[in-house]
Amino acid sequence: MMPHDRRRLVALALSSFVLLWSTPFLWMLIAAFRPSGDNVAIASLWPAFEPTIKHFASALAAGDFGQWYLNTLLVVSGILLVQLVTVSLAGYAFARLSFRGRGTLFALFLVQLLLLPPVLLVPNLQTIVNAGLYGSLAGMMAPYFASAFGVFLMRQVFRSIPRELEEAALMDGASWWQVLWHVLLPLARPGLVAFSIVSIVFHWNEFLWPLVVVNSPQRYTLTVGLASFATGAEGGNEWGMIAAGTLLVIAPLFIAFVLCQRHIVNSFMFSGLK
Amino acid sequence: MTILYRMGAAVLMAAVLVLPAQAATNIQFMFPAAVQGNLAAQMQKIVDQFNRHHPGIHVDAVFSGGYGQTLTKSTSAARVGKPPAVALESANFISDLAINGMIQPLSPLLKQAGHKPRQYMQNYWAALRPNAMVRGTVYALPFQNSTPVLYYNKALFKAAGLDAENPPQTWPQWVKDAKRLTDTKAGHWGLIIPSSNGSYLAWLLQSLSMANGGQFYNTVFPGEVYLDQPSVIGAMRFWRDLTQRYAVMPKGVTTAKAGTAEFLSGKVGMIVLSTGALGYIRSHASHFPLGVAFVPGNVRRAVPIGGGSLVMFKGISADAKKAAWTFMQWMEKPAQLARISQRRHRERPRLMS
Repeated sequence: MMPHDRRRLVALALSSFVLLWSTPFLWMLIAAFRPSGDNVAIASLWPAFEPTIKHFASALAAGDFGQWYLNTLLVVSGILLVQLVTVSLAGYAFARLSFRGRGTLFALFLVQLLLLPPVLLVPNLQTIVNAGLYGSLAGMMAPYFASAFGVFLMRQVFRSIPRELEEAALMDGASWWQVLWHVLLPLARPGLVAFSIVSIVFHWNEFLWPLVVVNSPQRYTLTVGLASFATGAEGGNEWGMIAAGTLLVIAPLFIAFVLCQRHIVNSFMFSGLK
Repeated sequence: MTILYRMGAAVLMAAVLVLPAQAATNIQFMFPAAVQGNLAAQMQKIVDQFNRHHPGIHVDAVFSGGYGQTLTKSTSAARVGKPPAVALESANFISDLAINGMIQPLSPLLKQAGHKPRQYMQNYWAALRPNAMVRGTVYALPFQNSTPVLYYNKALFKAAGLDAENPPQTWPQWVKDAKRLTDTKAGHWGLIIPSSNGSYLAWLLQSLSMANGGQFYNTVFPGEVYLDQPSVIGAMRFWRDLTQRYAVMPKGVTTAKAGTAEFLSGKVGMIVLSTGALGYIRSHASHFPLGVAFVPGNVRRAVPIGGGSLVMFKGISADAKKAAWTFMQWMEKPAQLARISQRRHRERPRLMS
């Protein structure tokens, strides 16, 4: 076989994978614009030729999307801002400072990654109640201010940066935080970006913890808000409205991904995540 | 980590929004997602009406996800000292909640109100009474209860040469009809019994076990389970045979939602779903004649109770308890029950004489 043919074959195989992978998304896109009543086609990928925006209108009318977007943005960005500080500092401590019990402490930190989040539901809620944060957005954010995964990632990133750069800065009279701020963090940017994306996507999509912490519809995030009017408990689902609502929920992330695609992929390549 | 987020929490204390203080007794009512439609808005309307008529009480209606998530949310809140006063819990969790000491026995409240508990329960359909009672004590008030039921596509029955007015009554007939309805070339399945964990799996295994002459658990001594008993194993085997041996049902896990969508697209002869899905199925199955029948029996015909009942949590103040009881009694009035059962096409749990 000619190399040219082989390349074409690979492209064909890859395109069919892409098509397969995007099927759920395509279905959602089509279902969101399909007029209701057309139940024979409920599971079909064949688009309706008279698209409707009725589902979007009824989804927007059923829920306070403006408030939910705002809440989600506040929660996601609030968590991320605090996390960036805590994971950088803790990652730096584990990567560069030598102190007694560093290995043990780091291992204990990593053990947290083994715990399934629902196990921590009641203990975390207890802490939130004790802190007087039950029912608030701050309570929704608080348990995530420290991230074992983030600390682990930043430690690895810092360790991959040559020590000579730091030593040069120290020789010039920089303090540890100047080294961190002017030397290490700029070099660790791809790692921070990769961590930010993981954090944003996780907290944007999270459902159970926000559902448990807040009670008032004014504090709902997008996921809880969508569930409050669009899910069915025993079989029935308004698929058109769910598809439209889901599109509204993922739209900001989706647009951000399309705009920053190259940047995002580079960060993941750098940090070895997928 | 604890220290870190305690510190963060302290910093954020300042940002906490405090709810406006109210003179009335504030109580919380947690309720799960509807079968269909915007229940959060409907429930809010009902609760608003209650609040208008009861100036001394303010009920906060709190949406709490599906039945499983409602259990998680309400019991987590109870464990950290913030129990809801009233919750609408799945009928399948009443015994669990009572055994674990999470909910109040209602018999003392009924006695205080001048009722004899057993006599009071005569207001409800006989089938619903055992579910609301644990060891002879009333723990729940039936609210929006349901049972499994067999939905079938009469057009497919006719096309397969079956009598559309005569749905299967026994397991052997069920298998025979399902075989006739299965057409692998056209992609038609004879039967779907939804098998997703967390929604239908346990409930329908319980249903098949009861039809097979057994019980899922000891109804007189709840907490004793019969999962390893021949009647339950037989039910599980029958379910497995439907996919493996008779090949009349798709293999793997079929969620209720996927199964419903397939049934409504006219590709499935029969499906077992809750009576709670009746309204949704009826309004969406406009392009084929719909049949509804009892779930076929084997040793006997029996189905378990599902849906939701009202319970009162422990750990609330005396005032809240009084307010909660007033609210529960009001919700149980025929007018409110009728509103819910019309909206959701449920059984009205209460006998109206």
